[in-house]
Amino acid sequence: MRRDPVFLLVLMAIAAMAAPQMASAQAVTPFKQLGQPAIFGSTVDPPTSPAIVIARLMTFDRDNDGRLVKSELPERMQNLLAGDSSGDQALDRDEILAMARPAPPAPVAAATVTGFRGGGGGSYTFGDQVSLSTRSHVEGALDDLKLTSIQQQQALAIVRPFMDRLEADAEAVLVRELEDLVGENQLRNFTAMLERQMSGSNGLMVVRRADGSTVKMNAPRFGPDLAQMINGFGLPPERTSLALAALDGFKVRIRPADRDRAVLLRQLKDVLSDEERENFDAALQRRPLVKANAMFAGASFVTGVVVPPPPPAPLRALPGDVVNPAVIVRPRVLEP
Amino acid sequence: MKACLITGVFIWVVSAIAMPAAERTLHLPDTPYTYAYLDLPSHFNDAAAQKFDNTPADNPVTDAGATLGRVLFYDTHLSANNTVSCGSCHVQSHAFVDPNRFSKGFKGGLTDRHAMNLVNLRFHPRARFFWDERSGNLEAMVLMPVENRLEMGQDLSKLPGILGAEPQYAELFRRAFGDPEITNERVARSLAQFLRSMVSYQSKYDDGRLQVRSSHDDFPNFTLEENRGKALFVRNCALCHLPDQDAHFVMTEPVNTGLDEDTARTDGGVGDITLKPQDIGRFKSPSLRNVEVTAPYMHDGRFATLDAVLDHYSNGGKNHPNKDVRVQPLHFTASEKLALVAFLKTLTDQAFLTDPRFSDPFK
Repeated sequence: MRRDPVFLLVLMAIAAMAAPQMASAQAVTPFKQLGQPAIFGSTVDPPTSPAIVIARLMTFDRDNDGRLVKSELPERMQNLLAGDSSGDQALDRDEILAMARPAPPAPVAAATVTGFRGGGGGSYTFGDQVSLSTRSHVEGALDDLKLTSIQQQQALAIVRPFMDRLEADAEAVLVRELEDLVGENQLRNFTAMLERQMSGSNGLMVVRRADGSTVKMNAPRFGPDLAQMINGFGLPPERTSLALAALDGFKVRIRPADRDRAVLLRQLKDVLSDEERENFDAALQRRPLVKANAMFAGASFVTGVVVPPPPPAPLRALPGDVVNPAVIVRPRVLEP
Repeated sequence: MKACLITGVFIWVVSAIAMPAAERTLHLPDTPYTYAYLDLPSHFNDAAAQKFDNTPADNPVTDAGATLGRVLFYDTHLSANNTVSCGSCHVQSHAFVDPNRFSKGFKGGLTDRHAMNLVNLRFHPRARFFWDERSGNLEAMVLMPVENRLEMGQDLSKLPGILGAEPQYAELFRRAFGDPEITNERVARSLAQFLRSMVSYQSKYDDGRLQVRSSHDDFPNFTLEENRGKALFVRNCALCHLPDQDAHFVMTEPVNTGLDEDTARTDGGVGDITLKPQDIGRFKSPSLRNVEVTAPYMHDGRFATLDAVLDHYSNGGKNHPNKDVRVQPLHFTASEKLALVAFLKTLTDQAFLTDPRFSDPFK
């Protein structure tokens, strides 16, 4: 119970910070695609036009007459004949095209369950780009090896100074690159914010919802996003672009590259077995995706970047829904 | 002597042909099994996990309804020539998949997809079924194989009459629905109840999960290798296969995992039903619970082993334009693959695989 007020205060503080970020994220800036973690939707854009569907269905046209009759389709697809608008008991290209075009949202069919919003879909980002530091990724990979506690301590005694050097070198390069691009005060403010964000905690935050469930979220860094900070300097477009590119380069450099990993693995030779080093190397090379966590209704949160949630999928009946009208049961609509 | 021998062989052959198939007698317990109540562990009961339950308000699982569903599930009268039942292709010891890549229909013809497992169908939140999600709910799904011309070939208009001729059904329907009337709707409802009652929750994973605060913690009942595999799974696979809770190893949407490159001539999955270009090559994913015994894997059973499945994800799949962004090359090492397989085997639930409540009641 004592945690609740503290937790509420933290939430309010985060909400207060998120609000202006949400507003600024909506503002169109010419370089907004730079300097931010890569955010992915759950799928890529549609590969091509509906023509791909027509080409695909016409592979079933055994007699090559340009029409698909019931017997040419697999049984599971024969409900598609509901799209036979001409009434000739067959589908031609135009009728297939009409079905393949994106449909406007339709009323929910009796046999369609929708309403589930948890888990599926959403946006993703690389786990090692959730925060400005890749330490959690590196130490997590070490943790996954399930070493003995002594081994773990010995390995951390090597990994942590290694990451200190890697991050310090990357930071030095970034500052050097920015020196020629931004003003003195701007650089001072930027460096202060960079160091603050690099040294901040890097863990997960567990939020308890009103219904008692919990959700794990990446703890957001305090302070504005660094890319947005650069965008806010009012620099000429070319300089902004170069500064954002420098920030992107920094984010790459703080991930151990091939050469860095080779050095680190050599240092770990006396602590880890060959197999453990091989597994550690493989884990460091992987870039697992994580979910851009939903934090507040209407916004997803990834370290300083507010991403609007994807629009809900239009609710429409599928051709296979009404197969046995006698046994259609309206499923319970699940709340998000 | 020779004539005697020929006559003997002839008589033996004729008698073998004339002999009816072994008589299958229904054996149900005097006290009906309990299906309606499940003593689920706490990780099934948290709010996020409960959202996965697709049980409709007007067809809850009852003991009598699921008992009827069990009898129907194993009754060959549901097929046109009384040769196959649902249980012919959905084998309990294999978590209700067919251990064969493709299943034999009532006339011996082969399906072109692998029979999906029937594990925890109750906890598929979209409540869409089949590899291509063409069925909108479990009640609609269960009769589709029955009337499929290759699988069971039954004429649904005749089914109530066929079942009505079997002496056991009047009482079973009366207990389940209050009167002995047999309808296809009632057949579907009771089969759906039986399927929703088939919940696997007593695996080594479940035992371990109960002993720790978070699935990220090492499970005390796991070996080192199993815990390593769990850590790898949580980091690399759970985003899709254990979404936002710790109970349901099920994906919440169909996904194109890059099984094929060709968009025109390979199985289109969901895309063949919705005709949306972006759905081509997307397939529903079954629960990973009991995955150890559900080989072969994928919609067409192309992978005979879990090793082959891991190789696919390790390589990142083929370059299909609809491939999900989450499917990336993971480059698992040999020892990581062993650990992952060790973890996946902790999802095996022997109690589920041998539970008499789900077994064939015809002996």
